[in-house]
Amino acid sequence: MMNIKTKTDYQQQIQAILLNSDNPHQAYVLCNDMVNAYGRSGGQLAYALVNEAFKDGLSEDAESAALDILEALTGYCTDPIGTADYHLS
Amino acid sequence: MVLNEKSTLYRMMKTDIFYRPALPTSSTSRDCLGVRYKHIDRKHEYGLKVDVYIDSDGMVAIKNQGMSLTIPPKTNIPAFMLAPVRKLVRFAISRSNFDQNEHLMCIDNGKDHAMLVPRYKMHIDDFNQYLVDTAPLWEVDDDEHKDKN
Repeated sequence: MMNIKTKTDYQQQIQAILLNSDNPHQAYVLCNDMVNAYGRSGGQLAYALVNEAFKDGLSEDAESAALDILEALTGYCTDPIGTADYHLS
Repeated sequence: MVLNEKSTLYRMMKTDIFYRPALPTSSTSRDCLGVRYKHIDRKHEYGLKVDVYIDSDGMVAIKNQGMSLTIPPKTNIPAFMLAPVRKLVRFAISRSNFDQNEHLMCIDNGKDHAMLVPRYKMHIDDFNQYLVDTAPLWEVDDDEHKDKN
């Protein structure tokens, strides 16, 4: 049976990576996968979830990784994810 | 000077104690008046996102990479840049400053995003110096900090 991930699944995965992983940059790969799988709605969800995790407070490394992802999702670095405008409605 | 919103561009930046744009202190300085950079061979490394790739001679390797700016309205500025914890200040600059600039030009690469990029093939140190040279042209456009510079 095909496994369709829900918003909660992604939320848990992003939080687990940013809060507990030794390599918080793995969250970048996950967000990229979300855009590849679900297009604009995947990008908007990734942006919302990483933004939420950032606002809740992260360790220094995880905060830096979260900012890298948010910049990539919004076009504020040289390696954008997807259309890199997921902060716009 | 009052900036015309249509010709204005914004950038959220850290400040020095005089509320001037903070200058970069390394190749990875974020939210300063300058670009982050690394060698193009490290493009696929995990982490450390940058604004510009350079080649082995230190030259900006890819055309039209540069320092990000936000096109008005202000609501185009992503929320994570406005979070109080970031302590960033909104600066504004007029596009017209770059019409005749010898070294830098302003390009739009989306409806909400523009960039200051090298006008010709340029070394990264020169590029960052030309960006630093624009410091006097930036105005604080943040309601809370407007009168401090």
